[in-house]
Amino acid sequence: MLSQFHLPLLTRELIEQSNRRRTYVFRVIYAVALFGLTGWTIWSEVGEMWASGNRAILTMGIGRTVLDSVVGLQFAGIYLFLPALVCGSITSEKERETLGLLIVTRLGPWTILFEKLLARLVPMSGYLLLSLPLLAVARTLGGVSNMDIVWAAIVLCVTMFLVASFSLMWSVLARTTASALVLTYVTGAIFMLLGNWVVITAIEGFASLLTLNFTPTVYSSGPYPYTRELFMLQNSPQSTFLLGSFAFNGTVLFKVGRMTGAAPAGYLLLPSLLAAGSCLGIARWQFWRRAFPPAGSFIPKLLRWFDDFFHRINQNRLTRGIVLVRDKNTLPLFKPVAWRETVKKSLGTTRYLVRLLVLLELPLLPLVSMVLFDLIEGRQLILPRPAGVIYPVWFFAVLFVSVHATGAIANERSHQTLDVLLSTPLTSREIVSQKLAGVWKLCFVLAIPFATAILYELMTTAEASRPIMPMGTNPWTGQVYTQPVFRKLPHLFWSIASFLIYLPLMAWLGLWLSLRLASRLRALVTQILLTVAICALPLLFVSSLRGVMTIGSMVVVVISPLAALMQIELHSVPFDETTRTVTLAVNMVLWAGVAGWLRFQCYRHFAELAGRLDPVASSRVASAVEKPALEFEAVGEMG
Amino acid sequence: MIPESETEGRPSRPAPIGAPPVIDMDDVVHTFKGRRALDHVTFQVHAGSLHGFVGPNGAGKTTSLKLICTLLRPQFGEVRVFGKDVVQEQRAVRQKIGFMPDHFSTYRQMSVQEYLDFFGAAYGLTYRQRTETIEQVLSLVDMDGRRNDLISGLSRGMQQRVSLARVLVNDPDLLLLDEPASGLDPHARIELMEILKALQGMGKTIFISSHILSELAELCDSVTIIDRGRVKYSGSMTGLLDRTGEHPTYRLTVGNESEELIDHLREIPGVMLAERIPERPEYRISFDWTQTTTNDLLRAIIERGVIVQGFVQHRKHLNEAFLDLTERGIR
Repeated sequence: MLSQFHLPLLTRELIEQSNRRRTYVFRVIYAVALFGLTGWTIWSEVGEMWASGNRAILTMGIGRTVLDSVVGLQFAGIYLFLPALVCGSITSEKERETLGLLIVTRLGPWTILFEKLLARLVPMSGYLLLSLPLLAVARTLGGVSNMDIVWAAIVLCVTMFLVASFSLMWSVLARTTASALVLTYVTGAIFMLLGNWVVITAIEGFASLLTLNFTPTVYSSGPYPYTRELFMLQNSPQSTFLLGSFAFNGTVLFKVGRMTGAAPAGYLLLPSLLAAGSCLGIARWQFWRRAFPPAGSFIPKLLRWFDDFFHRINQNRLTRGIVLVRDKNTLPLFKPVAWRETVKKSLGTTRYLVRLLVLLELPLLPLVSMVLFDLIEGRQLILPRPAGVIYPVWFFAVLFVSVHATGAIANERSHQTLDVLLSTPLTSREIVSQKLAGVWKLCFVLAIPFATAILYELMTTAEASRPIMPMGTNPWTGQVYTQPVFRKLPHLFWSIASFLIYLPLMAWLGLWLSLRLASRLRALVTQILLTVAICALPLLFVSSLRGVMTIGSMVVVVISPLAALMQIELHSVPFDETTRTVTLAVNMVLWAGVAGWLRFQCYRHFAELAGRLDPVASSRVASAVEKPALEFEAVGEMG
Repeated sequence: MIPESETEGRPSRPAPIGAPPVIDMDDVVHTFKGRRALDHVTFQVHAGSLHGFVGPNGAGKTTSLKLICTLLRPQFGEVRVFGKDVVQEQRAVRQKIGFMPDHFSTYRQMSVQEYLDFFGAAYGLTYRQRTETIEQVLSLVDMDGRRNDLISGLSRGMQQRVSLARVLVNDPDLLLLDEPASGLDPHARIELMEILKALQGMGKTIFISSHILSELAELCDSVTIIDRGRVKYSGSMTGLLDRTGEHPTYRLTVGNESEELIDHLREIPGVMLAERIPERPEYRISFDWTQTTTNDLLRAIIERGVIVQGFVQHRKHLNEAFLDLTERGIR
């Protein structure tokens, strides 16, 4: 029917999607997660009252909580799933070399972009529509107005449009789907996390310069000034459209709109719509230029750019172009695969790893120096305890390790070099162990920013008894933040343990997915989704991390690596020392066990999954060779 | 079932007495998701031969190659390379083979030297051995001037040479080449064939897969034709060319053409078919060998006043033989 409206590309995309089994699998998983988690929220709110016999009367008004839960989950779905859906829309055409075929048809760039965008928004809208019955439940339970539901729908749609446009822009700009995906997540996260801070600081600066009579009200969902999410100029609600940073944080937009009412809420949508329009504009502007990008991935180009930059600033009277680390043009000695991973891969060479180190270390070192000077001079610390400092390091570390590890086998497969490698006499064990050599080298380099962040924390921890900063109250949860008391040695121990366990876990998970899944993109997306799931899902299930210790919060800390990190860095749940130690120990042992199991699986099943014979697999099937021919049917082998 | 006569053919260069065949596929069956890719495949390749492995797309060529080079496990039957079972002794088999898939399989961001060195190390060669071998193989494929070039900057033909050099880097006794000439221009194709001939001269056994029989006609001394997972012919190339069907066919070139000549030829006892080859003074004659012999036929032609300038057995064109053996239709 769509083809009657002259939307051939949209028609083709929807037909392709409907023919893929994973479309339906994802839909079911999404629905189960949405309904399951919302059901859990409702139960955690009303279950206790229901059991105590105080039935309906006490459940009235909890619709607001349900609405928050549904909308929050849908935001999570948009931010997590939609980039994965949209990023491949143009890059997949480039990878299959079919974009040229589209371009030579009567379809113009705008038509291609809009039809591609629509083709991805249609399934996502289907996911959003799944929440209709849940919204009805929320409305029935009370505490939610019709306007709240309309506003929620509007903000979700606008956020969906923005995220899709943003991802489509990267799909136009990037050469491969994997790089488009990584760039979307990284830049999106930067906009979400730092956008508010930058815009607020800029507006405050301008206001003070112009001596304007603004009375800014700062709401914060976190204890620290630099994480504040909401800033409104109350004297001039219309000016809120200036806060473009809201555009990338739909959850804040939703809350602000509900608080301020419909009139300013309309203005609140402007930044999002403007940002989406800008993304589409950039996509259109760059469409021709990036339609046939030259070979070579983005990361080496970026690193080369930094290379040139450092080279230029190195050419001065003082340093005179001194080179501390010079890459040698070596040849493999005994471990050829490890040699290739550490010398010939862009993320593997020492020179580029040093650049990476500088990039990660650069923002950390000034913080450390400031605290160091404050400590030396006995001044009161003006900086907060750095609970946020190590999180960006974790974010980038996990991302880099995931990108590197998921490409280990999947890249060989997509570049069609795997068969040749497998036909050499290298044993499967040798290939597996050497394949991760680059990742271990990367981890070794990442250990330095981690060490800096941990050192910084230890320095401030020593001063924990001092009044570091005023602790705030979260206006949304009502939670009062208090200064936790940290102990140096356990903090150091758990920080090191988390580094030594979680990063190898990511590496082995990436390699395992790389072996099991056909393409690197699938491996990377699955790795990201799994990581988010194991980190965030336990947190969603238990709403009791609001400052009280319950069995649920203990389970969460045991299961979720993120909860464990929060426990190490923030002492987010007021456990006593023994409980904290036990829960963290169980968590570390659990994930170390998972990492060990994944490592075992990689070694044990490498030959089988990669597609070669090895002695272990051969002995297992020795009996099968005796069977009559007609009973055979290969499963999962290459055609 | 393959007729006895068809599997009897042997390569022109006989193997040493008592030496096992280099490749011995014995009653191999392999199935992918219910579709039988190989159906009781049996053939042998002998030492020193240049053996063509021909079949249409989807015939089972790549599956057979993967079985031989230890990337797949035969579900039924046995595959032996140099007498060693590919399932039980993969490492020993891998040491003796060089496998070139139907794509380049190159690491594009490496230089030619680095790429070859990488595989040399993967085959366990020492640094010195690698240096010497790489020197030799680059010289053989005429790439010694391009050793420091990045592979991504090389043309298709040159990348194919690099792939061939890679196959040779461990000095294998058996070369397994899957569609090595696909995508190459005629010039590069001829050069590749010359290199392969030179390698055969060095005593290597070469197993070359292709879906174009004529491409291998000049090159191979033995051939296996496979179609829909079944071996249709395995034997010498000459044996395949001599397969002219039930009735022998000869080509007659005459010096005195006349309108009546075709009728004269048809009158000869035992002649089944006599037809003129258009625009040539030539006739194709097929006869029933139970009724007459070649001598009698020639005598009868001369007796009818025909000036015979040539009388040679007509061999089928390779493509005809191939089409006769394989079934039409998309696999």
